[in-house]
Amino acid sequence: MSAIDSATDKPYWSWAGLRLGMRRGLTITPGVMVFGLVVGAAAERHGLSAFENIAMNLLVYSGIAQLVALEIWPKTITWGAVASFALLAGILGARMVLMGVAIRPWFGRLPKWQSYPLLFYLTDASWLISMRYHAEGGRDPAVYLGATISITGGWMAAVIAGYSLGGFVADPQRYGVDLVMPVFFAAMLVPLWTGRRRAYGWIVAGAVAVAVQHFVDGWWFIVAGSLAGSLAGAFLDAERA
Amino acid sequence: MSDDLGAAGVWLVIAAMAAVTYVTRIGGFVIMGYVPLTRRVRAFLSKAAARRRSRSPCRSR
Repeated sequence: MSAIDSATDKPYWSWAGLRLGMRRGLTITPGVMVFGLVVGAAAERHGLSAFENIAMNLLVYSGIAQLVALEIWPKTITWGAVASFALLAGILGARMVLMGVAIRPWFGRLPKWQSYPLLFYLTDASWLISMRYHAEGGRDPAVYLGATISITGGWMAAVIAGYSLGGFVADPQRYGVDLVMPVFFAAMLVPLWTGRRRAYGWIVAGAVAVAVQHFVDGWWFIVAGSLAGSLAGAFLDAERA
Repeated sequence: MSDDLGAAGVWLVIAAMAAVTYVTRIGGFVIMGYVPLTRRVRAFLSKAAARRRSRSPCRSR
């Protein structure tokens, strides 16, 4: 059975799906690795040991949350700092609540011992690759696993290399490295274009995110933009139905 | 009293961030287990995923 032509909604596992996921994951891996270099270098700059760097990336595995945390890393860590970092992880990870919501109809049909470990390494890139595959009619969670293996492998290699290189990659803006991830996500949207009506949700999401970023400090614009775009799209679809 | 957690502080930060991040990853998934998939909910999920439906050019691959 190919990884895409499942006739039913029931999930199944296949080697073909794993290979497909790994191939699709490899398309984003270079961009992820550039970002990983920056995170690894930031960890070295703020005094984390090599082991702590690896543990943080294996256990937290949230590049943007780690990068922001390292930017505000204190000289001494108190219980207050621990609570602040936990709150930071919650705010920056809030968008993943929506991703979990969207993936429920697919992964909800898997046994819990499979779905919950799989979600431990949920990322924007692996989610986007998997949801595109799901929209194409595929139901094989091995595609998600394959993409996760590629992306995580590249990420871990990059954060270790970035840690070793240290100050060489300290200023991502200087080389335009900070643009890599936005460009990737913008490119992933292009094949999703199916007409102007579908774009209304994107426009609402972008406008709300920009407005919230302007008026509210912090990272709430990510959550606000996601929610606004999803709700706008839902009501447009409901009107049409 | 010194509030500095010393070497354990880094590990506490990692543990706290890891726990909270995992909660965000499974939070929506768990909540949706209690929500009936009505037409409006499906429309919301569809838009949240920004996914294509029947007009996908890759469907025949």
